[in-house]
This record gives sequence, structure tokens and C-alpha cells, in this order.
Amino acid sequence: MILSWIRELVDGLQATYGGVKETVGYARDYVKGEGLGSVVTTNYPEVEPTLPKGYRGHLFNEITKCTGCKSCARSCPIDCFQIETELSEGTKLHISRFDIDLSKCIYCGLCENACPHDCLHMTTDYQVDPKNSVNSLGKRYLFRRRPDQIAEKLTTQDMTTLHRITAQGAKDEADRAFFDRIEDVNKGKSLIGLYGEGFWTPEEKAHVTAVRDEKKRQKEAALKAEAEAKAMAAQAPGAEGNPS
Amino acid sequence: MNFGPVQQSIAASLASWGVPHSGSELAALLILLLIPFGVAFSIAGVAQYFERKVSAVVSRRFGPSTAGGEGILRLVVNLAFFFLPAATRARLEKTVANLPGVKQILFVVSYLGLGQIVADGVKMFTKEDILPRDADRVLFRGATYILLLASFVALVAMPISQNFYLSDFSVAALYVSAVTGVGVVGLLMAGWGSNNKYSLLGGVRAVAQIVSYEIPIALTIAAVAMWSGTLSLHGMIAAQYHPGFLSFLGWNLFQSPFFLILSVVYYTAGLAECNRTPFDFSESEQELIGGVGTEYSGLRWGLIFIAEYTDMILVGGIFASLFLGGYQSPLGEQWIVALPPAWEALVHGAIFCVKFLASIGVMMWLRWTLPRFRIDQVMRLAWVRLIPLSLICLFLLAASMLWFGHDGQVAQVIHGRFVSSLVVRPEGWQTASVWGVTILVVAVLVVLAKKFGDPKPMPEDVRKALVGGEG
Repeated sequence: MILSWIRELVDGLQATYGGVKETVGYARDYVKGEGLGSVVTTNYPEVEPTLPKGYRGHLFNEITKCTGCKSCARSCPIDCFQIETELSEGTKLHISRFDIDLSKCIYCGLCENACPHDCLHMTTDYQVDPKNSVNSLGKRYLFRRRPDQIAEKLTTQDMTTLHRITAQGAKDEADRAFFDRIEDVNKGKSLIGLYGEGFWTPEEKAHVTAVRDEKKRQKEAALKAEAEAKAMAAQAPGAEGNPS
Repeated sequence: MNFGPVQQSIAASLASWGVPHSGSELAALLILLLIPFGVAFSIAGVAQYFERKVSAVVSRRFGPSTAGGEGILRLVVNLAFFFLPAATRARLEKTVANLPGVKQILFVVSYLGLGQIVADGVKMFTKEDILPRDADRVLFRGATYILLLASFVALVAMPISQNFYLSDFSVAALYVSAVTGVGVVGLLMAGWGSNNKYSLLGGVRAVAQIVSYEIPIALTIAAVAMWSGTLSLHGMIAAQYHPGFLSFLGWNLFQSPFFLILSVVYYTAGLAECNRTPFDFSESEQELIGGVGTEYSGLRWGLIFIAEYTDMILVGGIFASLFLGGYQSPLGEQWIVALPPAWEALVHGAIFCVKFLASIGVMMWLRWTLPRFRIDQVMRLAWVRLIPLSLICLFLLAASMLWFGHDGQVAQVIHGRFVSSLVVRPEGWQTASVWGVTILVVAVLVVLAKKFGDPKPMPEDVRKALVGGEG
């Protein structure tokens, strides 16, 4: 019995010693900077994390390739796409709106697989400040504006450059200068829509919202009226059926 | 009560500036009191930083690493030039940040995460102090004061150095263990007053645990008191004085093998007294949210937190005093004793700080090594293992002292200080033979135990609870 008591103590001390040895090993690795990954965490804002292959970040649409087929919207399990198309110049289908609600997106990658023209990509971007989407460019632009909202028509070369900048951010001074020129020509209006803002200017947005609200209100009123009529119809026979 | 020569000298210098005698004594005492309290408060902050850093190192993380260099700069500039308009201050901030070298310093500061200390302090002081509805106001508020008081009052007896200390009374060791026991009342008050079942559970657990672990601590203190013949912490330290160059040989830890075992017992029990992680039942966050601290917020939570860290300092300090020779240097003590009082106080104080900070460091290390025990394991550890072990050591120590053949009071002057005590000074061969015999017996017992002892099976009810039903 006394031997069991001693055994307990010895076992406890041994277990403690084993644990302490383990943690000292970690500390030694930390100080030496070697071993099984000396530090398993990264100093995040200063050091960019190494992303695994196939990392699914924010979506990016190459609008020059996009045909507006809405395959992505159909494949999306949570309906975060808002795509509107219109015929421009009578024959050509023009994409007047291509919005992805990043607050809804679950980064499943189904839309990327569904895209028949290979123009919708998941980038490796993972950080965005919704109020002030800052990157190397200063701001993060995603989608083009409608041609009639732009003062100067861009050449194909311009479009290519713009596309590259939107995808990768400004690399050097020339890119910035290009961007400034485009902004300047278009009277301070951004050529490209921000996240979630789509192709509409604020005034247009307000107008559309007002129209939608009005329609919604009318619909609701109609529904209400219908319900009231039904209720009346239901009450009327009840009143008749109780003559005594 | 004796408040030491430093207080006398402060009082004398105050009196020389024209302060009346009675007032100068009191003022000197207050000044003296401010120093350790300030040290304790700042140590709580620094210890928290080190807690994070040590735990990060031990678990291979960066720890606090980016809490702001720029934030500190902004704070300093804005506080220092509060009279300037905001725009000027912003420009000034930029100018300062662009000075040569400042950027490098800011980088190092933010890399080490030193801003975390400031940020934590500011956060703690500016958060709202919430009183829960239906809480018992008096108990809820009083608990923090009692917790803090129990820790700080015990700090009075800390033997910081030979010439600088707050008080030296003959029952300091007893006083410390008695006063820290009052903290239990605070924990129970906090648990009951919060009107929260988790708090109450935490409080009750803390009481059960601390009351149990008081006993091995008291037995350990009794053993050291028996050995050095005094209950005064200063006396205990003085009795560990060794005149040679290898002055650490005089420490209790090396004087007797039983002290080695008792030091392990004391450290374990002290860990439980502080509610540190292998024994943190009063705030086991996975089960009880925050235990007794669940309902506290802002500065009140900070006070509980500071009390915990002060407890750690206390346990470290008492451990150093009992076993590690207190403020004495491990190599060559005589030259420090010969220094003028102020310098002596500084050197001894630094050595004492190193000793208790090292023991706090080990506490942090253990926190990230050992998982929390179950409550039945904690109780068993106290009552079935530590208390019998410390009793055995106490008796064997007494037996060895009988063999050394000391009896009667020996009044002597050690360390420039009068110690009226039965000071055990065994011969070298006696110490060596006690060590040899004990190591031999322990080795034989361990081998036998490993061979024939049965490891204790888990209690049936606990096993059922863990495995679930019939298992």
C-alpha cells in the first residue's frame, strides 16, 4: 500500500517532468528558430501569410470576356449575384450590372466552375475593408461603368491595361498615371464601379430604389386589399348563417 | 514594530527640511509604503506581459506582437502637447515619427508588443464598471477590496533586503499565511454576491481548494521555522547565511534533503493558493466562464487580477525566503553585506526580485504545460499526498536535528543582525551523510514502487462519469 502511494507520487512527478521537457523543447525551438516550425503563427499584418494552393478568395469577373449568360447566378447557392443585361446598339447584349454581394458570398467556388467562358475567377485576395477598400491602388475597383456614363470612349489597349490594373492592382507609377488620366477625363467619376455599387451613379441608384419601393408598396397594398376582400367574403356568409 | 533604517533616514531627512518629528515619522512610513505598492502594481502589468510572452514562447507562438508602437507615440505626443491644436499635434506626430531612429524603435516596440501593457492598462481603466441586477451590492463591491487587501497586507512582511523593508516582526511567516487565508472570504463573497451560478461554483471551489492547501503550506513553514528557530522571515534568511564564496550552500534547499521535498510541496501548494492553472478551479474558463470574476468588469476586474498577481509575487517571495536564501546572493555574500546600507538594499533587492520573478516564470511555464486537474484529483493531491509527505519530511527533519544535537536557545549575531534562535549548523559530514542516506532510501523505494506498487485506478464513480453509464 505504501509502495502504491510512492508510485503515485513518482508517476506524477515523471508526468510533470515529461510535460516540462516538451515545453522546454518548444522554447528552445523558438529561441533557436529551428525544429518543427519554430513559430507556428505568423506576424500577420507585417508578414503576408503563405496561402495554400487553390485558395478561394474574392471573386473577380473579366467583364470583357463575360457574355452575361447568368450561369454563375444560377449556380450560386445563396444568390449573391445581381446581373442585369440590356441590348446595346440593337444587337449586342450589354451587361449593365454585375454585382457580387461579398457579404453574402460563401466562397464555395461553384460559380467559377459554372462559368462557360472562364471569365469568373476566385482570386487569392482575402482582405477588404467594406468602407474603404484600400489596396496598392488606393482603392479597389472591380466592375466597369456603362459606356454612356463615361465621357471618353476607351480603346482596346486602354481596356487591357484597365483590366490588368483591376485584377492585380497598380504596379508602378505608369499605372497610377494611367488611372489618374482616365479619372480626369471622366470628370472625377470613377470609371469602374466599387464593390456593391454596380453601374449606377448614386442618383440613378436612388431613382431605381424609389421605383422599386413604389412597386413593392403597390404590390403589398394589392395583396392587403385582396386579403381584406377575402376576409369580408368569409365574414359575410358567417353573418348570414347565424340568423337566430 | 521596527520599520528599518531606511525609514529612519527618510524621516531624518524630512525632519531636516523642517517637518515636525511626529509627522516626519508617519510621512516616511507612507513614502516607504508607496514603493512596494507601486512595484507590485507595475509588476502586475509587466508580469501579465511576460505571461503572454512566456506562454507564446513555450507554445511556439509570437504572442503579443503588434500592439502599437504608433499608438504609444500618438498617446505620448497627445498627452505631452495637449495644449496645442489637434492639427499641430498631428503634424508634430508625423515629424517625430520621421526622426532618424524613431521608426526602428517603433518597429522593435511593436514587434515585441510592448504597447500591450499600456493598452491593457488604458482598457482596464476606461471600461464601464457594471453592477449586475439583483447582485448583492455590499458583497459584490466589498469582495474586490478584501481580495486586494489580503494580498497587499501580506506584502508588508516581504523581506526585500537587509536594510530596506517595511516591517520586521517575529511572526512574519505565520502572519503571511494567516492573512492570505482571508482572501478566501473575498472569493466566497465575490461568488455569492455576483448572483451567478458560475461565480458561486467558482467561489465554493476556491474555498475548498485554498483551505486544503493551507495545511501543507503551514507544515512547510513549520519545518523551516523548526530548522531556523524563528518565525521571522528575516531571521529565517539570516539563518541561511553562509560565509564562504559558495554561499548558496547555506540555503535551506541544500541543507537537508527533506527541504528539497518540502520545497516541491510548498511550490505545488503555493500554485494552488494562487489559483494558477493546474489548480485554477475558481475560474476554470471552459466550465465556469470566468468563475468568481464572471460578473466583474473594468477596474474592478483589474483589481481581482492584480490581487492574483500579487499572490504570485507573495508565493514567489516566501518560497525564495524559505528555501533560496531570500535576498542573499548565491555566490559570495560577504561583500554585499559590507556595502553601505543604500547600496546593500539595492543589490539585495535586485537579487530578491530575480528570485521571485524566476519562480513566477516557472509558474507561467507550468501553466502552459500541465492541463487542469479534476476537482477530486486536486483534493486527493492535497489530503492524500502532500499533507502526509510534508508530515513525513517534518518528522524526519526533526529526527535529523535530534541527531545533530542542538538544544537550547543560541543567541547569535548573523549577517549583522541579532538572531535569537536555535540555529542548526550541522557538520559537513553530517549533512552529507543525511543526503546520502536519504537519496539511497528514496532510490530504493522508487525502484521498489515502480516494480511492486500498483498505479492507483481511477475511482469507479469518476470513471463512470467520464466513460458514461456502464462503460
